[in-house]
Amino acid sequence: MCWLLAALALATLALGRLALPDDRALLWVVRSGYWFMLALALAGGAALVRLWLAGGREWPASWRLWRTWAVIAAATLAWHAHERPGFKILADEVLLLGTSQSLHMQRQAGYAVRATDVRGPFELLQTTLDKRPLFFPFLVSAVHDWTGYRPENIFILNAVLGLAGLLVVHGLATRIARSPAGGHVAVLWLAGIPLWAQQASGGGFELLNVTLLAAWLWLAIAYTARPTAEKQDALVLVAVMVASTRYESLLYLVPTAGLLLWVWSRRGGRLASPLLPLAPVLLLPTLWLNQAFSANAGFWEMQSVGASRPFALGNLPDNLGHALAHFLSTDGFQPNSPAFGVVGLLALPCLAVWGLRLRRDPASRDEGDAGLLAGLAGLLAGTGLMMAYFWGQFDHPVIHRLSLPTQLLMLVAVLLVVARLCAGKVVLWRITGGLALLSLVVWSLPVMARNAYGRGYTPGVAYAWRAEFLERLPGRNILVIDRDCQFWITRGISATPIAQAQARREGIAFHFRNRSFTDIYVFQALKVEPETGVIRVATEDELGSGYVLETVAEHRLAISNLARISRVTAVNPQAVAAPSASADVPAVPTDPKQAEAARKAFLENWIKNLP
Amino acid sequence: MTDRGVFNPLRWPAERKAAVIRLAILAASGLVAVLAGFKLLAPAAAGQWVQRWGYAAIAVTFLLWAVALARAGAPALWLAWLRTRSGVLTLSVALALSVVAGVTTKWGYKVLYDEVVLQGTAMSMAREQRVGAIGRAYVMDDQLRIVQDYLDKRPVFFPFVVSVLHQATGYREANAFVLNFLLMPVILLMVAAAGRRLAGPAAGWVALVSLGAFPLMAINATGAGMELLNLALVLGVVLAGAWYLEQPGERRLDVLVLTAVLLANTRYESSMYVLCAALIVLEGWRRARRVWLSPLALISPLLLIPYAVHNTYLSGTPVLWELRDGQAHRFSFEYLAANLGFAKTFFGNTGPAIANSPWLTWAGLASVLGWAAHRLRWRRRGADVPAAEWSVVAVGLGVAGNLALLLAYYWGDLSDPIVSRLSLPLHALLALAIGAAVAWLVTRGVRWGPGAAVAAALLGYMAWGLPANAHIPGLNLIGSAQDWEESVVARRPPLNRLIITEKSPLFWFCREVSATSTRRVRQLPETLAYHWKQRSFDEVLVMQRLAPATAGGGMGVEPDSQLPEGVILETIAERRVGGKLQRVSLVRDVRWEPAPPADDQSPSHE
Repeated sequence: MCWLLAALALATLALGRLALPDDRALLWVVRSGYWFMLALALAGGAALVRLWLAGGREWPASWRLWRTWAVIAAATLAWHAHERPGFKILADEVLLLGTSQSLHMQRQAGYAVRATDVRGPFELLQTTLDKRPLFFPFLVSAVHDWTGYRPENIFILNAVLGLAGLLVVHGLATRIARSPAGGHVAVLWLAGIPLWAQQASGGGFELLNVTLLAAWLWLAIAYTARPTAEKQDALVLVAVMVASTRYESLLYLVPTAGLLLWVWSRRGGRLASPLLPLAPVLLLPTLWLNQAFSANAGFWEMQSVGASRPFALGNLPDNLGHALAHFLSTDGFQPNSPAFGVVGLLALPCLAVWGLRLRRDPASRDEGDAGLLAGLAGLLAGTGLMMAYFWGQFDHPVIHRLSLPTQLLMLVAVLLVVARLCAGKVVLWRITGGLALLSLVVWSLPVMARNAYGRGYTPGVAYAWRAEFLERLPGRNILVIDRDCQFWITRGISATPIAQAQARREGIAFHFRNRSFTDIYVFQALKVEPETGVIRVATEDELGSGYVLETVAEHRLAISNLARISRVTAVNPQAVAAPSASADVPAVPTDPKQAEAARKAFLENWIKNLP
Repeated sequence: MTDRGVFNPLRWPAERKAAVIRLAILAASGLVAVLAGFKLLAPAAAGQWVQRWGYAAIAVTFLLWAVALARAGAPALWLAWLRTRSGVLTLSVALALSVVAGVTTKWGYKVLYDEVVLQGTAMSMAREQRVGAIGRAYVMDDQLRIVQDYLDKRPVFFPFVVSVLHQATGYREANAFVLNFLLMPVILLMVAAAGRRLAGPAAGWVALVSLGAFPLMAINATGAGMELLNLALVLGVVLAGAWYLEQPGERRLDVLVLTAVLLANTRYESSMYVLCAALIVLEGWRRARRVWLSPLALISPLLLIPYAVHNTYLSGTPVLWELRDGQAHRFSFEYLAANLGFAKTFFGNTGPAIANSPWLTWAGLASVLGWAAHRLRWRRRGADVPAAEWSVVAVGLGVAGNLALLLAYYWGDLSDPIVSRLSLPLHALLALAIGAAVAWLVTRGVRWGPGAAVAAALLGYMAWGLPANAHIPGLNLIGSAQDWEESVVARRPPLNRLIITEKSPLFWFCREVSATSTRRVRQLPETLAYHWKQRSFDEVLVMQRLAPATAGGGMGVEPDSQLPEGVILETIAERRVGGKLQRVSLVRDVRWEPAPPADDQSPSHE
């Protein structure tokens, strides 16, 4: 078994990183990604069920307390009372939804760039592979599969993950604190962090990542406390799930492997478990997908901040400053809890004290501390990686969410300080819990209600406005020309980017002439020139002279930003006049064979001319 | 035994005499049924007879069946099972799979125009107790009045059940859909019960999940067709047959015979299952070593007369056969090769455009082959085949016969969504075969067999079936066009409206709206002009389809959608459906003058 595992691991590394050229590796991800994720979900599910059946008593008794469920229910209610479901980070979340749509409809990884319903069902004609790992879109696609496709499924999944995340964190905290009080306190702290509320009502993969990380940490503690085959399988497969959720989460495989080797060395031999050999193989699509970054340097998006290397120690001081600005901000424009920031940041150095105490005083060690240490090392490494990242600015609207694993680390540090360094005195739990509750009521609820941190992110506001516009439309047979065309395609609406509409004007003219769409709309961003106050269409949204537009709606997104939706009333006026239903047209052939031939030829032309 | 070698009926025991008399009565009623059904009436007269008496005949048959079921105690048995833990669990899984079907498939007509014709017949049966699809109907005095009807080719039991729902709850187009959706969990419970009888609880579970995780079930459960009722009755014959064989008796015989009669009245080709029921009856006699024939069984051939008369009408009315150009026969060996190719495509498909199940196909085939091999070896021992298995095999012969018939049918393309529904009984039997095979594996020590089979069925559903649930309804472009037209009309104020449509006006009759076809308006333009002058309708809307005239486009009104000159239209909405345009227009004026006499020079009669 040991040799088999080693051979599979080596083969996976060779096949995943060395054997295949980039384009071939990415093609394999497109074709096999769904099936690997399905196998991962089944194997992971089987491992967790086996764990549950084998050791039900090890699950926290506090889950059976009504207080636990009351605290968690109150926390999630508070989140959803103030946060509207919607995309919070663009284009990440909409691309994840696009990938889930393709996984659902054609079992291929990638998001659609061309789609049509000309044959009846809405079909994706052309997809392109996204750089994001596939486990989260796979789960969304499974929700589509079993309940029918609807874009809102991604928000429903995250709402459920919010609940599941708090439940797992409660269990982890109870285990670390050796008391349900620790679980309650942990949930109260997280309930008061607006970022968690934002993620629980968004479409991102962050909540899945942090929930799996909490589960992984819990399993690491349980595994090192009393190793069993069931725990080993669960730990390893949850680690693979984490690695398949976010790019940098691959690093959690290192402490997982370290823990396995440590446990095996203490036992004097390996611990056989049936699902373990599967683990390396299930990593293949994530390793292949990782090659996307070497195939396309643009995926790092370094050009957006003018960086030349993705990771550098030189980024550390700057990023630490941004992190402090995020955690300690008190202006309401950061989705943070300053009280948690202070307590968590103060607790972090105490981890070193706790570590030293463990080394000096073996009697103070708890069974499972090795797993906890390995987990904390992983979370610290993840935080360190973020601090060295060229875009690791936690106070940036797009980057806030990357701080979630760091917040988990801070939470565990707080729990350790109270439970271990202060001997878990009841009064301390009450003080910490009281502080968390006070912070939630006095600070977080008003901040979440004001939602300044969300409203300042204009792409998110623009998406919400698009959704409002779409709701008011009587029909969906429209074509939308929009830089963010994914928004429309994921709603089953034909759409094309501005650049494509510029390049394929003759295609748009064809469809305009043949009334393929009830209306053709254009979404454009407008900017206010600060000196003159003149409003101009953003350069990247200019359609060119071939289109005549009529403004349908305008919306101010921010002081200097507006969005406009216009209807196309003519395309390239020299060539295409506005279509008229009564215009002279050739007669439709009466011979059915001729009519069918004309229809087929037209259909071929129709699809060719889709922009 | 005493009379062996000497034919002397007078010396027979009383029991044997009674049996012979009953057999003679049965033969006589069969002969009467054949003569009355196939020979007595000409096609036209047969049609009129069915229209006049069809409702009463099926109502009597249904009532007799319900009484037979109650007398035999079948409902009490079902209720007792559903009160057990196993029953509750089975019902929960059946409901869960039905809900998945309901949320992953688009509700609406799946087979056009079959389903709307059935709806029209159900409306006619509910309102006038008369069997007839609606030909022309108009709203008069705020109620849709049927002006002209005609006898459709489809058997009458499904529209009868829908008509009973209409009568019990008020007319609603949705009643047919509700009936079908309710039938799905009922069918799943029946297949689970059949599986349990066949090979134990594990077989029941596997059969239930295998059939429930099948896109064809989901698509039919959200439509308005007669397929699920047909499948429910096929399984009804299986269960009633097994029940009868376990303990042959008159009451159980009544249930079996009447279920078969109702089944024959559900789909055209289901009359073949009457022979299967007869086989089961004979086997029951053999096992009991006596002839069981109840009064109801004796008259059962007479209950098939309406079906036979209907068949006479269909056979003598070629226009109902819907043959394509160049085809002269409904059934022929010429179609076999092509249909076999289509069947191969259907069963081997893994894409979302065909509602098949690779799990049912391959695991089912392996199970049937395994069963055949096992049975051949086991048969040598000479013991009786278990009752449930005998019943399944007898019905299986009917399914095989129907499949053979389909392969020789001019429209036997199983890969066509309209035809694939006919394979439901076959798939139900495959599900039972898989269940039995897995139960056999359990007896051989493969304890994980049922769990693995259920997981495989669900996994196959997730991988291939659920995408098909979502994809297939979208292929129905006529349905999409109709949905869009209804949405346009729904946005307009409620008026006494006439719809002129290039599609079947039946869609609008089902919604109790006056409607006629563009073809009829072309044939009788003066009628439209008359009602336009009389202001009979507050609004006249025209539904037309435009098609590309050339590869470059240029959408023109299709010949079938054209109206006579003088009907002035104003377009109010257009939408592309597939590669064509659908248009809704408002009639602004009708300027029609009667054409001058064909021959102005003809002498005056004066």
